[in-house]
Amino acid sequence: MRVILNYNMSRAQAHMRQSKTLPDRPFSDSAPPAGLRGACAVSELPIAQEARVVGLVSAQGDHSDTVERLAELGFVPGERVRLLARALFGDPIAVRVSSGTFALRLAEAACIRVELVSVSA
Amino acid sequence: MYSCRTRLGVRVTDTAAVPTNLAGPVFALVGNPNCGKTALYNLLTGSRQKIANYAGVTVERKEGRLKTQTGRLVRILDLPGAYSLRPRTPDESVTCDTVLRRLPGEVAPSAIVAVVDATNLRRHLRLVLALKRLGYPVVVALNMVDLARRRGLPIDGELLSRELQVPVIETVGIKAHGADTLIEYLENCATQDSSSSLSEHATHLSVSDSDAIAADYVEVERILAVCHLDVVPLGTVSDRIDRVVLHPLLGPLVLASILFLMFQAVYRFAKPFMGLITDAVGWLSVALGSLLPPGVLRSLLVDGVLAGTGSILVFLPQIIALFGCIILLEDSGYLPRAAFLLDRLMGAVGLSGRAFIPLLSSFACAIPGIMATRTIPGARERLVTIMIAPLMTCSARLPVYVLLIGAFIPDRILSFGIGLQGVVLFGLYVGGVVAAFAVASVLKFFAKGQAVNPLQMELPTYHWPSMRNLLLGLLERAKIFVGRIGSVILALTIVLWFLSSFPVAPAGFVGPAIEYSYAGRLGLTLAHIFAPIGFNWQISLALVPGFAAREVAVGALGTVYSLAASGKDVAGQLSPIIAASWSLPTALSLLVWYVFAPQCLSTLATVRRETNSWRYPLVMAGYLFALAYVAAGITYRTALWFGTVS
Repeated sequence: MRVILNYNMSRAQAHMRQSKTLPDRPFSDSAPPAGLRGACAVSELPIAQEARVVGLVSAQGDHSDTVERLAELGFVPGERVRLLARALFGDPIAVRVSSGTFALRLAEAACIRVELVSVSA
Repeated sequence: MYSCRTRLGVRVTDTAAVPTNLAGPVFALVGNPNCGKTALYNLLTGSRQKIANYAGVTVERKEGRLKTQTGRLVRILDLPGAYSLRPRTPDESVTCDTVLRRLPGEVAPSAIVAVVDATNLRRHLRLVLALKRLGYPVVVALNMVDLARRRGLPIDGELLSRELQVPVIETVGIKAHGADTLIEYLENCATQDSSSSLSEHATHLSVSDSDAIAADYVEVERILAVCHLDVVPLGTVSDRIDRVVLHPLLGPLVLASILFLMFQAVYRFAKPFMGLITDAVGWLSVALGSLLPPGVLRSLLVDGVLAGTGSILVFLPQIIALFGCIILLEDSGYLPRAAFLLDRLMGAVGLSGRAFIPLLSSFACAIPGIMATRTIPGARERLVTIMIAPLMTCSARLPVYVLLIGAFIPDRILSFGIGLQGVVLFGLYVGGVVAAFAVASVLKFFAKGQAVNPLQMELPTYHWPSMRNLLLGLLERAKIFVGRIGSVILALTIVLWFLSSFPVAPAGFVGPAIEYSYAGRLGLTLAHIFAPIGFNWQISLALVPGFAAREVAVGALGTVYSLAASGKDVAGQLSPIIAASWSLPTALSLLVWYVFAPQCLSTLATVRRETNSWRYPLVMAGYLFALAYVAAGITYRTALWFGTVS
């Protein structure tokens, strides 16, 4: 696993940490970062539980395009997400991010590492 | 074929028709998908472009004009939605290439109207910042403010404008006067600035580096915090609907019921209206027949024009019912949910839920369906979707189905008020879908080791379909349908009447006179090819004009049988004639033929344009012809065999 930080997210996170009390977790370009170990993929969340994005990872290096687009859709560290529904056989899933809803396949959902808000609080 | 007409109509206002030396600024409407750009475009320019509640309704650029009170012109560009300035799909590329001025010879925007969904500011504002960085003068159209306020969001346009440092104008794209303030603003721009001074600003056009993009995220959070908009709405009505609609078990049931009811509605709703039209056409042809002296003119009008066009006009109610259902589904926001439910199934044949909306559009007409594949990111998935789109039964095939079902399938109620004819119609549609899936899985065989297709599809908030939108949409369809009858179909009908009437058979000719005519001879020749699958020469002949427009096949049968009939058979009464003269295996064979039937020429032309090659349209025509022939042959032989057994 490789953590993608194409967007130089550290600056965005620094800000969000201040404003939204995101737990201070070290991020680095070398894999796997300690901060993602306690996190799970967004598809593994219980339905309707609020969680926060802690990072975007890509299983293979060639998926960085997917990760980039996910960030553009709003899946950025610190953002609140919520799993709304799973289709039959668990794929795809519907995820609320900010005030939008997106359908994602499991392969894409695996890129989004999240942690429950209640756990970190 | 019907919706394609409106799309083709777009070309009237396309760049070619607008002189490029026109003074006046060019404003481009840019924004995320499904934020209401086209609704605003319609309000600004008085157009009636299609709007609906899902991402990717608009897939090409359109240009329209707004005339100010002082007589100046403001040109408005409507562009497909884009999530960022780094395109992933062909439709997003259209927008990015326009904004980044990569299209030589096309009109470049001199300023940008950034359309923003007030209920979804976080994601939408990031694009605004990126657009601002390009150096364009930007004005923000804060759309759907009514919806945002109803949800309790404290939207303050002035505050937002101060923080964004660009003008912000509140709009409601779906209300008749929702864009008046924006129109006023654009008028002022047109009178104050000349277009050249506006465009000078837009000089350094480059997609900025990732540092700037990261800064955008921070900036948007800051703005939202200042405006007290950094809240996430909880438990909306949409979410409650989704709990049922997206449910793993209930969801598919809801989907199946909706589709099934749709086809029953097409049959049940349309029936009484069809009767009225049939009677009217019948009355007209009797009246004309008694007014005019027997001869060429009476034959042309009664047997040619009335029999040909009347037999197609009868299907207007059905077309209206079908489009009514489709518009309601599109407008409510249900379509992406259906795509969500079907994603897994489509994944099995190498597609994704994203292919669903183009395929569903193909039920109206394959042409807008093929255009809509521009929203699919993967090139291979897009190509496969294009190739199978014609297997979705387009509305032009509906007249053929309804005519044959009406003539050969008994009008029985099975149970629970479900009619047998509606079930057969549903079965034919399902047949096309099953065939499409089979073709896709065969094509999947040739593409091993391909990456998983991305889905990443937005599920919009539901809203009540707008009655205005529905009525305008239906009116448009009706106009197009009747317009086609009055133009293409009428012309083809007259040509066919001529070919079927001349040369006149000599006195000593044995057999019906029509068999001596050009059309009769052509039909008899073609019948050699189609006899093995049960088609007589009349059907074989009717298939020919069917390539220009599907429904003309029905009109052609109307003309041919009307001419051949000796007595006073009237136009619009085709059904009993064929019921008497065709065998059941022939009828079934023709029905199956039309499930696959090779494409009309306009579809093939669209495929050529969208794939930029002759190869794919030729492959498409070839494989569909082969499939149609084989499937119709199997149906014919099987039905014959059953006929001899029982």
